[in-house]
Parts: sequence; C-alpha cells; structure tokens
Amino acid sequence: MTTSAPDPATPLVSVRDLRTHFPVGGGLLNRLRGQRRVVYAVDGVSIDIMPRQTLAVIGESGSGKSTMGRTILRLIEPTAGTIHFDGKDITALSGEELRRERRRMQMIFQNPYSSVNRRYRLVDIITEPLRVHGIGDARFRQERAAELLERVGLNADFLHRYPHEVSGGQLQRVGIARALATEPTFLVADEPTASLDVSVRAQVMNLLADLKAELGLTLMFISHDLAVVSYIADYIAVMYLGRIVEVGTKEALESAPQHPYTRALFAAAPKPDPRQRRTGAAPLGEVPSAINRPSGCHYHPRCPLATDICRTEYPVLEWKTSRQQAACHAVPAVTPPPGATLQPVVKA
Amino acid sequence: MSQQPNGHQEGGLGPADEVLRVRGLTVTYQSRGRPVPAVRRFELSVGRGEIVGLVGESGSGKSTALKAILGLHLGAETEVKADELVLDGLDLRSLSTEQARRIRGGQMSMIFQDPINSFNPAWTIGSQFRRVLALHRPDLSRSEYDDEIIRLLADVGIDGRGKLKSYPFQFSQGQLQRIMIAIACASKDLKVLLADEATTSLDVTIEAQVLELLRRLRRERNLAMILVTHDLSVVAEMCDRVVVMYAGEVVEVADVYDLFERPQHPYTQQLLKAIPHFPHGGGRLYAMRGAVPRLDQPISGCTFAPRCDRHLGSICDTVPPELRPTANTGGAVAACHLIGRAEPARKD
Amino acid sequence: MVDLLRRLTRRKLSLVSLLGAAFFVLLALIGPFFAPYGMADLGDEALAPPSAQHWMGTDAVGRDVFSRFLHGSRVSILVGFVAVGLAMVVGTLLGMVAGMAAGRLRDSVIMRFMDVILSFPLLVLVPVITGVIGQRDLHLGPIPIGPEALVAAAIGIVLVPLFARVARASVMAEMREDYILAVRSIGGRGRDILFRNLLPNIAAPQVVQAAFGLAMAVTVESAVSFLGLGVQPPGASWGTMLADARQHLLFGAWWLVVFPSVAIALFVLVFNLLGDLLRDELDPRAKTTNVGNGKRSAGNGRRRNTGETTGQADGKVATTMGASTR
Repeated sequence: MTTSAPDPATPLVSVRDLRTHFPVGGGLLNRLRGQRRVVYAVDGVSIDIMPRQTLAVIGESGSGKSTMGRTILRLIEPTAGTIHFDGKDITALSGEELRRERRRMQMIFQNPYSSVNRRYRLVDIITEPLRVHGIGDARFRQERAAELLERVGLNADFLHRYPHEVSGGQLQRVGIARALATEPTFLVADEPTASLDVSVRAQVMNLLADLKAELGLTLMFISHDLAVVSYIADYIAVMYLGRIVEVGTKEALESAPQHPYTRALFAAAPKPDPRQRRTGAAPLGEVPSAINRPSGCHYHPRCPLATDICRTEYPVLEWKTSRQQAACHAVPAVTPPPGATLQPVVKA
Repeated sequence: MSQQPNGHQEGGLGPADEVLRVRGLTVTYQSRGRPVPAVRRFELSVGRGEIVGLVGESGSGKSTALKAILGLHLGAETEVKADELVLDGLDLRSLSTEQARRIRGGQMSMIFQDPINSFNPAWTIGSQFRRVLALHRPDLSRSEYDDEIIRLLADVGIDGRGKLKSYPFQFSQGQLQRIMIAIACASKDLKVLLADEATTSLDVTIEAQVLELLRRLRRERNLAMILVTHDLSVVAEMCDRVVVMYAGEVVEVADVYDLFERPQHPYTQQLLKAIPHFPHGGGRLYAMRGAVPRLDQPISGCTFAPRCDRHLGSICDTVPPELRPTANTGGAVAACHLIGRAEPARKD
Repeated sequence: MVDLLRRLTRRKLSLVSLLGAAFFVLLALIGPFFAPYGMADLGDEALAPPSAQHWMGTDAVGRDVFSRFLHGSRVSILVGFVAVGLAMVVGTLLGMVAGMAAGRLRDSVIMRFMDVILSFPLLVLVPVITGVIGQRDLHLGPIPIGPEALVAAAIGIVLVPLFARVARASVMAEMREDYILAVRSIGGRGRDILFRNLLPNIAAPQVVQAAFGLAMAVTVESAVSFLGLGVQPPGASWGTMLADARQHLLFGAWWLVVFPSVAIALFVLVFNLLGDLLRDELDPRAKTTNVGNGKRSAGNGRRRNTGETTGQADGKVATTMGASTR
C-alpha cells in the first residue's frame, strides 16, 4: 500500500463552524408566513482531527453526533460551514469530484443487517466500492475481497454467503472490510458495536484497534458507550444539542471532566460491579428538543451549577486545562497552551 | 439506593416468600418447518420484593422465557410447556383464558424495550390508562379514574395535569417509559413486574432515572421484579440475584455479589472478562471465541462446549450438564461438569 | 424464486392458483393450435347449440364458438400480459425515480401525472387513447402492430399508476435504510442505487401488483371490447364475443355468453388469488431468519429479524391493557 505519509502537524480533517439544520413540518402556510421550525442537529462545530488519531464523539440522543459524522462525509449536506479533508475543501466539491474523494473516507454503520444489501452475497458487498469506482477487473476484485475478508478475521469461504446466513458480529466485520476496500485514510464509525452482543463487541473493537495501527487509519468513533470509547479513543469530544461542550485527550477527560454534562454522563453510566452501586440521585431532566433549545447555555435547565449568565449567554468553548476545552461559564479558563490549535496538544 | 428487601433468606427461599416459581419451562417454535427450542428446562424463583436479573445475549431465550411466563402469545405454532408455573400459590397453567387475562396487568405485568412501540399511537395517554383502570381497578368508579391517573403519574414523576389528552408521540422516550411503568403498576394486586430490556434503548442519563424509579417502586410496594437485560452493568446496579442464560438454557444462578466475584460457569466467567470497563485500564479487550450456536440445529452435550476454555473432554460434548449447587451461597447453581469436581473454581 | 415456488406448492390453495395461472398461460400460447375451425370461418349453421362438431356451438354468422374462444383467449390474455408488462416497466421506473426524489419537484410532477391518469375512469381513458391514435395498422419499423397491440398499450398506460405508486412507496421505505446511505458513502451514483440496489429489493411487491394488474387488464379489455371500443370485429376476444352475444340472449343462445364470461371470471379469480398469496408469502413477517446469530435487536428492532421481536410487537399493548392475547 503506498500512501504518502500525512504531515502529522496538519489536520487530516478540519471542520469549521459546521451547521446542519433540518426544516421540520411547517406546511405551506407556515412557510409563507416565514415561520419555519428547524432542528438544529449540528450547530456550530469546529474541530480538527490529526492523522492517525482517533477522535471519539460521545453524546446522547439529540446530541447530533451521528448527523455530524454523516455531514463530515457529506452524506448529509451541511447548511453552513466548511470541511477540509487533507487540505482540500470538500464542501465546495460536487458530483464526480466528490465521488472520487469518497474513496479516501468511508463509513462503518451501526446495524450490520440494514447497512448491506440483503440480496447481495458477501463478496458483492465487499467489492461494491471497487465496482462503483471501476477499480480492477473481476478477478482482481475477487482476490481483493478474499484478502479483505481475511484481514478482518473471516474465512474466505464466507464470500459466497448471504447476510442472513452469518452472525451480526461477522456481518459487521464484512462492513468493515467493505469500508477498507478502496484503501481510505479516514473512517467514520457510527456506533459500530451498539447492535452487537457483548461477547462479540470485543472482537470487533480489537479488530478496529488492530486495523487502526496496521493501516495508520484516522478514525472518528461515534458512540454512546463510554467503555468502548475508553478503549479506542485518543481524544474525546462530548456533544450536547448540536454543539461540542467538551473536548480533550481521553486521559484528561476521564480523570477530570470539566463540563457538568460530561460529569453527569460519566456518573450516570452503571458500572459492571455491584460494589460500585450509585448512591447519589440520578441526573435530572431530559435532553430538551433540538427545535426549541433552551436559551443561553443549552444545558442550564439541568445543570446544578447554573447561574444567571448561563441562561442568557452561550459559553464559548475554551481551554480549561492544558489538555481539554469546555464550554461552561462556571469553570474558569486557562491561557491556551503554546501552539495550540483547536485540537488539544498531541501526546507524543 | 438499594437495600436488601426484608425476608430475603440465605440458602434458598421458603415457600411463603416465594412469589413466582417456574420449573421446567420449555418453549419450542417452528421456523421453516423445523422445531427451534428457544427455551429449554428454564427454572426461576423470585422472592417477594426481590429483583432478579435475567441475563443473556441474543439467542439466549431470555425474552422468550419472560413472555412465556406472562403467557403472551408467541406464535400459532409455538409450544409452551412447564412443569411448574406458580404465582403466589396460583398455578398459572391451569387457568382459563379469562382468569389468565386478569392476571396479566393485575398480579403480574410487563414493561417493554421501546416505549414508543408499546402504546397505541391513535389513543391518548388518558384513554389507554383508563382502559387499564377499568380492567384492573374494580375499586374505583369511573369518575375517579382521572384523579387516580394523575396520582399514578405523579408517582412516577410525571405531572399529568392537562396531559391526559396528549398522544404518545408528544412525550419523550423517558416520559413514555415512566408512563408505561405507571400503567403496568396500576393494579393494586401487582406482585411481580417483568421488564424486558426496559432501559436498553434509553439514553444513559434517562436509564439512570428509570432504574431509580424501579428501585423506589420495589421499596415502597415490596414489588418483585425480573429484569431481562443483556447489560451486566444494569444487573450489577439493580439486582439481588442473577440468572444467566445461554442458548436457551439456564447456565448459572447466583447472588449478584457472588456472581461478579466468583462466577462459576465458564460462560459467565468469559462474559465478565469481555465487558469493557470505563475507564479502560489498557491492553486488549478479552474476546470470546466463536459465536452463539444456532438453535435450529440439534446440540449435543453442553451448549457452551465449543467456546469453553475449560473444556473437560468428551463428557462436555456428549452429556448436557445439569444445574448443580455451587460453592456460592443462597441456592446458587451452575450447569457445568466442572462443578463438584476436585479442582477448585478458578477465580479470574 | 425456487424457494418461493416450493412454499407456494405446499398449500392447496396456492397450488390451485398456480396451476390456474399456468393453465391460462398455456391456453394463450398453444390454445389456437387446437382450434378445429378458423376464427372467422363462416359456417352453415347459425346459432347452433353445442354439439359434437361445435363444442361450444356456433354464433350468429355460423362461426365455431370454440375456435373463436381459443383465439379470443389468446388475444385477451396476451393483451393482459403485454399491458401489464408495459405498465410494470414504465410504472416501476417512474415510481422509483419519484421515490428517490421524494418530496422534491420531480416526485411531485411524476405523481401528479399519475393522479391525472387515475382520475379518469378506465373505460373512458382506454377508448380515448385508442380513439386518438386511431385504429390504423401501426408499424414499429418493419414489425406490424395490430390493433390489439394498441389496446394493450392503452391499457398499459392506464395501469402505470398502479405500479408507480407501489414502487414509490417501496423505494421510500428502502431509502431510509442504511444500506442506501452506504452505497452513497462508497461513491455510488444515482443509477447504481436505482438498478443495483433498489430494484432487487422492491421487485417482490411489484410482482404482486402484476398479478392484480393482470386481472384488471383483462377485465378492462373485455369491457372495452364489449363496448366496441377495443378489439374490433372480426377479431375475437372475450369482450367481443360477449358483444356478439348480447343481441342473441333473448333467443336463448346461452353458449355465446357462458364460456367467455366464465373464462373472464376464472381468470380474474385465479390471478387475484395468486396476488394475494404471493403477497402473503413475500411479506417480511412471514420470513423467520435464523435464531441465535449473535445479534440483538437494536432499539427499533426491525420486524424481519428474529422471531423474538415479532412476538413482541403483537403482544405488547394488549398485555399492558390486560387484554387476552392467547
């Protein structure tokens, strides 16, 4: 595999002020009156992902993490903002150019059964990217499929099976094989283990970690499962109602979460140990609607630290420690570490 | 906060405290002309006010067993047999259709995974509630229904005033789940609440709230519960005792602390090792070999044998192990040929 | 496909409808070879009841009804198949294009056009089309197209919305699935999605519609020909035979009416039945996939997954309401 080594100092993926808004309902009359309800799925996200790094994006439903993953791949059109991939502004690309860029950035989906064509054999599923881009002839594609299948830990005689003839874990690996077919450098994994059994989850996670190391992949890992994220992430970004509320190195976030929502999330996750049962009260409230968001800081209705300013002014995402940023009025900021970009400083 | 309910005895439950007793439950359904034994020789005892966790992965039969206990229709060609199925002294197998119907929602009720799917979308919350009250609250007159509904909703933390005319889609997931719990607990005679993956599709913060609600209900009404889940963390958080299922059979039963500290069955041991922890300590995730066996193929010997790392030899492949008492207290059992042998149980 | 046929032959009812369908196809293909007389051969005996020489009797001008019946069956049935074939191809394509562009201008334009077709009563639209184009002998290059083909085309046009609507609905449902997004994410273009991914997955409901469409097409052809606006004499079809029969009923010439009528009724019955049975077989809920395959249903468990999820959907609300579910 020959890929020019990416410059470690330039982000592979660079997102600035990304917004994805969906119009909701409305109807003709409302549109005429200028009233259009909008879901602010992604509302002003800026982040850099360095080559070979894994950024995990966590959040609950309504956080916009899935939408963001898809928008970055332009599977959903952004409403505003820019996305740069390997230096190129892909928001400006169209049609054929975008199609060609897609070879280098791929996606792994949550539900293995619904993300493959159930009428295709596994070999067809894996080679579809090659066919679509006209890479190689039939024999080359067949060989590549076998090669990819082995790389994800499956026997080549799975090639002729149908999706319903294999297990969920196996099919998810096929999905990974498909994503690797065109030798991408960037992968977005959207809850890849959420539909899998615990015993199978570890297999897939180990596989992803191995592939990441072997192929030098850059990964954006979207999940709500903190344990799985903890295993694979270098950086973690926490999203709430379309915005990043905290981002930093995994170690920094896990040891000292700065944002009250991050703390609530970590505290709410049940632990697989009866001796560590939670004695405190559960966090309050629910995630509000992404259409009618609370004013000021969106988290203020549920936040134990909320003050007046929280109700009126949205807090800026700024450095709270040398290794993480958070958007919270209640946490004092620190001076940005030297040479810091939006991505916290890379550990060696 | 969880406390041991009164009357929970070591060394098995006395008949007076046992509110539900199931022995020899077998469910066989037909798939493409072949019989599939989804549940085999299932047994379970639940004490008053006790929370029992029923844990397993896909194909374990846990949901099927639960539905069979409640007497839900599992398919026209599905065969359900039990040696014993006793609810507080009442033999559920010998009931007429009418009597069985009254038990459901009366003394024993169930809550489900996806709250939005559990309600009739065309009925208001109020009318669905009223219907339940009509069936299970003969002590109330029609005019008292609405007040009682408000009271029941307040009990689960929902302000129902003015909301009785709302439709399910107008509520959030967490709210719907609470409403479902309120409906399931409407009857004064309720002795056992069955929960089928009740928090699986909820966000972790909402899950924490719902689990807290369930704990409170248990405390206040001495309600027994069976929580079916694949999530061992929920089990650790909530349950007093745990039943582990694999491929349609019960493989281990133990007190929750014992289960996590001294798991006796190789499947339980491997399962616990496979759970990723948050925060992750480092090192590869433990991955179980192989996959859950297909139930439509006949299985000889122990169902777990092909994946077991403590395989004894031909006995495991030919003789299905019976549930035997283990070194753990409180009537703990496990279905493994290793139990009762000279070698001590390995603690991993 | 083979599996489907096997499943269908298992139950008596579906076996009967399959055989019935096969019978009609055979009748259309080889029926006329068995005709003892020509279709338009005038004979001596007019209005003779069924006998050894004329199994179905003769009509007002002495033609053998049985021979006319065999030829007419071919016409009616072939018109049905051609019409449905045409409608299926055009309708499915239009429906798919509309479904993929759901909510946008293209979708609205196509579906409004379908609405226009649907708003006309069938028996009005078909004669209008044939009337406008005229009863000429058309030629597609060197191939002559008889007037029957024109009728078939007209009926086909009228049936297009039937297929378009179903295709559109199927496509809209499939578009929500991740695998379509996956094809886009690997760089698939519109036509990759359309032909390679969507078409195989929506084919099943279209086949069901085809069965119903056949029944409709034949009915329409008969009605239109009966009114004199379809197949023209001396051509034979079930409709024209009925038209011929109309004047002679009073004379008790039952054999002119009974055979075409029964044929139409049976055809409609067989194909409606087939459509129903196909629909039952192809419904995803009828399929149970393997159990214990290491997957658990995600939050919105799709019903075509394990049997466990199916049971859930049925029993749920009824249980909490305490109603009887056994």
